[in-house]
Amino acid sequence: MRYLLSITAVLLCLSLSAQREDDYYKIEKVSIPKGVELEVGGMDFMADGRLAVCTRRGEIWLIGDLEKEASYVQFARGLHEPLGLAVRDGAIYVSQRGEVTKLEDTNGDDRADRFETVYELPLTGNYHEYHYGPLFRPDGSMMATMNVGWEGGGVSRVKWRGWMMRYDVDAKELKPYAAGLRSPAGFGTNAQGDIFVAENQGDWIGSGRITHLAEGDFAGHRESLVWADQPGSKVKTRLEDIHDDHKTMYAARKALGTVKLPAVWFPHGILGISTAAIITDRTEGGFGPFAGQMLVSDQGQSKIMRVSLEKVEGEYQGAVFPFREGFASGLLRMNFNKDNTLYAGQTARGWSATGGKEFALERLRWTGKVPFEMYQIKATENGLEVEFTQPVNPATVRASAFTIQNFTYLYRKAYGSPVVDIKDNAIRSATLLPDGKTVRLELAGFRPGFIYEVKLKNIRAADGTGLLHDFGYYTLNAIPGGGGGADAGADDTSEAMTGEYVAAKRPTEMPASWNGKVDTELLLESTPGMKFKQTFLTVKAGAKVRLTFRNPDDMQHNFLLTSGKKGNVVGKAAEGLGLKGLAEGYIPDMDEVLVHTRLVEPDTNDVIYFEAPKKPGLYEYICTVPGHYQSMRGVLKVE
Amino acid sequence: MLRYLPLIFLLAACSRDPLVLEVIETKEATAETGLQTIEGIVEGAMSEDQTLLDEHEDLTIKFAYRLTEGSKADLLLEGQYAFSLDQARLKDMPARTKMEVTPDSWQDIEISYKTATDDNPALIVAAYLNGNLLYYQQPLKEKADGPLSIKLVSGQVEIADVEYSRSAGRGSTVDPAGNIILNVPLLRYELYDLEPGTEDVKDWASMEPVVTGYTNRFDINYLREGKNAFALRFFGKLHVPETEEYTFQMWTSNPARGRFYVDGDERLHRGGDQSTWRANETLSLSEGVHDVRVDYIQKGGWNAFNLGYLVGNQGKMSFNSMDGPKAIARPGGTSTLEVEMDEYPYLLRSFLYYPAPKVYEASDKRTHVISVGEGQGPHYSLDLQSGALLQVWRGGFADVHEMWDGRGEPQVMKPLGNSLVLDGRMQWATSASSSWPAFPDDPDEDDFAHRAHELDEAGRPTFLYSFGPGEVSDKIVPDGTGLLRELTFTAGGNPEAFTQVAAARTITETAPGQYALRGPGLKITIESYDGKGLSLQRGGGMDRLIAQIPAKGHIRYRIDW
Repeated sequence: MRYLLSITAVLLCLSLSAQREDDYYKIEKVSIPKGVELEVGGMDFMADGRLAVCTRRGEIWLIGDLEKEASYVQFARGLHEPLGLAVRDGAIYVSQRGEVTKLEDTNGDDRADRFETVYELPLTGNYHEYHYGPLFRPDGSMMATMNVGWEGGGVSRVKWRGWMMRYDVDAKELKPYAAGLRSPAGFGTNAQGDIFVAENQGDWIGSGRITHLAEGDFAGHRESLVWADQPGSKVKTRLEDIHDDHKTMYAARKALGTVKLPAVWFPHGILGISTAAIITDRTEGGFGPFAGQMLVSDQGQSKIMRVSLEKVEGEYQGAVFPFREGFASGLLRMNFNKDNTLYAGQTARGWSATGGKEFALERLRWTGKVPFEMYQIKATENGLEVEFTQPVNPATVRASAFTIQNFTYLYRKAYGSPVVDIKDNAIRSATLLPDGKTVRLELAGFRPGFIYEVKLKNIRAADGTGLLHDFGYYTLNAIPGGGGGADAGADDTSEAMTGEYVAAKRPTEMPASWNGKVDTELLLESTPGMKFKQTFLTVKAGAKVRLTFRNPDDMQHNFLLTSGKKGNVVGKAAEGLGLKGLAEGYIPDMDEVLVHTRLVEPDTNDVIYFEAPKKPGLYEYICTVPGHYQSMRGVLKVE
Repeated sequence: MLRYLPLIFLLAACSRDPLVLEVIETKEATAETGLQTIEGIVEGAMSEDQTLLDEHEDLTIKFAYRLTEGSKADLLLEGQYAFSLDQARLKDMPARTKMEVTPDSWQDIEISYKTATDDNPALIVAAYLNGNLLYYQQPLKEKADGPLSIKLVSGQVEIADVEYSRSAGRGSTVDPAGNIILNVPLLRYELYDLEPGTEDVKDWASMEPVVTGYTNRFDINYLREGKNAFALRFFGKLHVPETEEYTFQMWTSNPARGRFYVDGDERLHRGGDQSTWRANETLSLSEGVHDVRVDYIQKGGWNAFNLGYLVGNQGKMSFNSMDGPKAIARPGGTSTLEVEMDEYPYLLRSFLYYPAPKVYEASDKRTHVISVGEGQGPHYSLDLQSGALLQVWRGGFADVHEMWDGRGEPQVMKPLGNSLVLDGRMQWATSASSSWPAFPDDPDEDDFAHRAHELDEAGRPTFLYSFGPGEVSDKIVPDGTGLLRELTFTAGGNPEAFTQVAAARTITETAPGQYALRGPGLKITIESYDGKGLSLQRGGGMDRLIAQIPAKGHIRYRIDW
């Protein structure tokens, strides 16, 4: 019942059609010559203004004349899937699978002729052992992150998988810095120079997020802890400390004291499905009104989110907002150019992205117009303060203009988490502060350890402009002053925390009337790249079907059979489900959905029983995990 | 002649002739292959046809051969099926890949052969030249009954290292550490179509298999040929090397059913929607041959089947199954994605199956490998964690389909030509008196590390490593159809280093500074050397040609094949 109050993002967007992201931030394409597969893994600007890009196929390109028909020079090739690149003192550093390499061109012919191994990493040969970075620190040291391997769940079979590492260039020493990472595809610093790492949903990671990492921190993924007691590690958490019984990360933090909470959670499917690059707007206004804030890209949803942070009780927490969508491919890397344009390096091979292109290089340019946006959200002792980019029309400030709910994610070995323990927050008061730009909200049921969805309607700027985006999510790890709030926090073990979901259109028992007989046995499998392996199935009209959906992929998928050529209709509806979708396995409640499986964990399956439609024809089926339905679909032919 | 002048000068200047081989025997045990030698046959140059076995049925035969230019010879299986040694192919049946047989170089041939039965023709289960697959599951035509022989058609052929077993594949062995490795050499299988939902099959006799064939592993997902409701039966003969208590464990996916039979008795059963994780049974198996059978029934859904065993303190072993920590190559996989070449050498870093896996054999992955190719070769792969030359080949350079297609999960490059696989142990050591150091368990903890590589004007690399007390370098360049390799050692003071010039089953000195290798079939010619001397280390079934290199010393040699 509590879901009824949740109004979907889609509906709200419709009412705001006057405002377009493109009016404020324009996406421009950078040309890529035929034959260059620019699957961007990392990039950085060189002193001469060219953009150095490494690709997943192991090439490094130096791209000049970025404003015109771009020129491409191949600097190096044959590197092992480099996923990070940094320019430093005229040399190019890349993180290959097995090492960080310093590449130099000693004779000035734009071709690397010296490849120095800065440090080497042990590997098992597991494909998921990716390596990102390096990020140079002001002291000359460099940071890098390393995925855990994937064997149906994360594994750390060699040192230091699942860690952020710090390399001391002078001492030539690689030291463990922080643990608890799963797939830390991007990291960067905020305006204060503190390091934040982006994380992807998976085992132990309920949803995407960014976490501030200081030396010795443990960011949540258990498997990295196998090395926690090794020399050099300052991580205090141990393997046995981490188990499903904590229920939430907040509770684990309370119990152990050593778990680092994410500074900002990004609700899966709403604000990204695979967070990647983190970059701080250091343009001092050259890129619009968000100087000092962080931008976080998403690979799967081809977009950028924006983050405002504050420090409460000594630790970072803050809000995430939509910023700009519509990029052509999977947005893995971002860099600011000197002219304050933001370059977006993209790739989608193997992990399809909303944009649809296999790879792309684009840039985002601020048009000079300031959008009316939530600039930041801050916590107070009894609620939230929402600051806008422009003065607000006082007449539009009223409690009913805000809808607030809070929720959290499970902390568990199983892949990802549904949204759990959703509670509405009644708004006791909404007051415009004297600055004319900030609204103070006093909330009922304000409790730490939860993520607050803030949705707005009919709020206008003083000049009448409507909002460009009307929602954001604030992660409340702590209440200023250290209060416990109106509730005990996210450590209860009520029914709301189980994440179990039972549905009428998921018949998992064979109907008794079938007398134990099935007419048709269908096997459907996922295959890497967000696809079904079987894209065409055939059944007789009215046949009694047992369908097994098997998921050997390394992410969750589901199966929904639609009532005809309804894949797009159902897919879009699922994407608009918002929090409710997360809580209910992305199954929209609509007639176009005939039957479906549960959200199937990696390396597991789900079996459902149904009678095929009586009417012959073509019935589309799709996976409705956000970002999947465009590519993950097939047709059931009923004969 | 001029190029040898420094060498002659060097020979004259040294107190000990550095090219005189000192032979060092190590105590390293030889790995058990499960094969045996054939008594009474003549190895070496053959002046006439030679019978290897008077009669045979199922067979694995492995030997090295060398032909002079223009010579022709055939291996005859059961007196009937001719495999041309000079063309590396069966008569009238093209191989998967055409492979050139270089005259005067040793070649390793390995064929596993299944004799014809009343129902089935004879079969080449697999045939490999130097480890490269020539045939897989190739049926032959007529029935035959005759000896295994080599027919000399013209010219001259030498043979060596002849080993065989009377089974068509790798049988059980006991390794040097005493571990019992159980393996059924070949499994006959039958695939049946089932009505969806079929829970069990009792009356096999009333059913007709839709496919029959042979395989080495219970590779259900490959053998089901896309079916969802099916049954697979496997039949084989297990040789138990030692009488012991063996605990077998079987795991099947839900809702599959599996049964394991030994000598006709059902010993393990796991089936339907039962919740037990796996079925277990401890059997006392006597030394000798036992009939084994597996029945696998899939009524629909996800298929998976693994059979393993425990014996003594060995830890869990896989029994002809697809699980385990190592990579297992399937016979399929014909798509290729070739690296585009230009006038510069291509340096490609990747993982590499090492040694190149035979079909259904396990293989390790080397993770820090660089392959260097130009034109039509010769190309080579180096292991940056050991400095070892892992393989050399001519022809096309690299297939990167398993790196650049989709997620590229294996991240493995494959040579496009017929590669010769070399020894993968450490390139350098500080002593030659004990067994040559193996590839380490933890390559990052030893005193050998890749430091850098630098490209010359032509784009060819020199690899630089830190090693023990100093640094070493390695430069390999194509020279005609072979490779020229120069290794140097640089250190302060007077430390010495040792480098492995070559390793093979047999290394024979053909002239001072010249060596013929068998397994792999290379020729080594030392062109320049300023160390104290060469030694030949023998142990573990391998000969290793090792050169002492003084501080600031070097060795340069050709590799031909």
